[in-house]
Amino acid sequence: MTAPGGGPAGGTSGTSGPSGTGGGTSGTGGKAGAPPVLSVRGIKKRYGGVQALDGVNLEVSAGEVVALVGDNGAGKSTLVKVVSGVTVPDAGEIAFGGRPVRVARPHDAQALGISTVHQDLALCENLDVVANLFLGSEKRRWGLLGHLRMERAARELLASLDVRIRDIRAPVAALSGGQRQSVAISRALLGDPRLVLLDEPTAALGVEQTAQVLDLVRRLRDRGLAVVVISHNLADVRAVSDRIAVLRLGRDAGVFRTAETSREAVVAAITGAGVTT
Amino acid sequence: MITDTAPGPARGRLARFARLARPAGPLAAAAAGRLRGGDLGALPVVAALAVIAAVFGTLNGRFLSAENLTNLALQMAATGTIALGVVIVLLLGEIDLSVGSVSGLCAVVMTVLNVRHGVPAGLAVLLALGAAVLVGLLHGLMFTMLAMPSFVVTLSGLIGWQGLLLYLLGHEGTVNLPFDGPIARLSDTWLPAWLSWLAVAALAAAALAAALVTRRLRARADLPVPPLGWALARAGALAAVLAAVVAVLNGDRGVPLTLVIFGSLVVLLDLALRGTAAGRWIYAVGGSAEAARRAGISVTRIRILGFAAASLLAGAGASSPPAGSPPSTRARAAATSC
Repeated sequence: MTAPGGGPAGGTSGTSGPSGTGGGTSGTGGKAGAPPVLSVRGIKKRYGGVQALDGVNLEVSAGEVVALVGDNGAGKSTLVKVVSGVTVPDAGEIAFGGRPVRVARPHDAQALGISTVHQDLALCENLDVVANLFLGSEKRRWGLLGHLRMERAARELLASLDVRIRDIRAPVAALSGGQRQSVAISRALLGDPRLVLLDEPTAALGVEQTAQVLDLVRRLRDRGLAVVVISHNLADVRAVSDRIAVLRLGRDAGVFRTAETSREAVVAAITGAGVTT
Repeated sequence: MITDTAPGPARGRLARFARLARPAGPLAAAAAGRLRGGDLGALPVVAALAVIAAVFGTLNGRFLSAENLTNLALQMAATGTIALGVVIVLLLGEIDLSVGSVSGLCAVVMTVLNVRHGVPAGLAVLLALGAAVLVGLLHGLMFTMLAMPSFVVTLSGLIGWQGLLLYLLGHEGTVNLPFDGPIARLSDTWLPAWLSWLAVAALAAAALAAALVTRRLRARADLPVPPLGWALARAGALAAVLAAVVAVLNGDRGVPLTLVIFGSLVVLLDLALRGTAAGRWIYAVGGSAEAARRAGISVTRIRILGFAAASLLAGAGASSPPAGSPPSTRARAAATSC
């Protein structure tokens, strides 16, 4: 457990040179002054013979949506897993709120204020909506679950996000795909995170549900959260993001300001077709 | 009655029942929706019990007699306690084949300690339960740390613990508990009629009080409140079922203490599974171990806990022996039940 409270945070992960080679363009986008909420430097991760991440950098500030794009196998999901504590990187540094931290377990990330919605949602289908929302962080008193407190908080949260589910006491198995996605995103907001990671939040949704989710992402930004969205869909990315970070084969392939960048430039960075702005 | 369980008409009746339930309020509507959606809850079990009672009752007039039902209740207590442990492991999405052997082993450990080594009965029971927990921990560690399938772990447990059981029993193959010992008396104790009726009244009152308090708390928390009639009907139904059981059992020797112990274990386990974080995490691990892990739950710890609890309950099942038979043969009876 990395005590988030101050100190020079002694033995963080080995110093391991950030290897600032590829992809230059660090493009610090956030509002000036405060340090970025999340700053990732020189992350490396190898799975067997595959170098999934090879010295990746990323910065996200409060009130900013950064889209993380790249082709299949570019390392997007691996980077999210590293930041959310699901996997431990081989090398690299993570700073949260300007302080170096160690995120070795999902619990560490939660304790820091990093929430993640994984692509497979990670819901327990046999549990109801309330139980899924509070899974792993149940409200308790004297070891007993606070059913009513959790149900009430769940209703308030879903109402504030305009998520409509008829019976929140029914097992999640009975919900539609869009409702499940809504539950998963809502869960990410419990515990007042400072950073929300969304892995392909619109991948399995229809047009209307996609629009709702993108609205939801903008609402997160308006609340002052730092948001990282992974997506394949460049239209969604351009609609919602402030900056676009491109990964290619596990390396940085450029960071772009969404408003000032053409779609072609992003596509070129994704495919590696030369033309780096 | 029997025709109710045929698939065709049953669905029609369920649907009609669901429609009847709808006007009762949003919660009842939700329940009706679940029913229509194919979530039948305990209905199939109740239907199967009705079929069993009808079939065996017509085949043999004595099946539904008070004496036979009392004997069934006694046998149910031991097997049911063991089954409670299996339920926990099944909730985890795993299987425990070893509970019969573990139960027998516990019975032998307790009996050998008590009879051959003169350990006081209470201490012997505690030591046997401790042995059961150790066995369960071993199963859990083999399953989680060595990544052995639970089927393989507990199948080898089934064989291995039976071997240890036979070794501990020695040449004779049996150890007899004294008829008048405290352990034997446990299985031959019956509640007086007044006490069992008092217990029925107390339980029904407690259920009603709990429902009313929950209603009050839900109202205060601005949550949808189930209709008052719903709470009354549930408490009434509980009272009716308990009263029927007590009336039947009082027709013979009365309510056996072992059945009370078993019933208490059922209620306690239910409360623990639904009311504690560990219980909810057991469901979560069974539903999706990966989701549970990502939510920060220690899946390994929950799995080991589940196997330990299963073995503990298997051991507890051995301590409430099948006393319909002469109350001296715990070890033998338990050993044959393997």
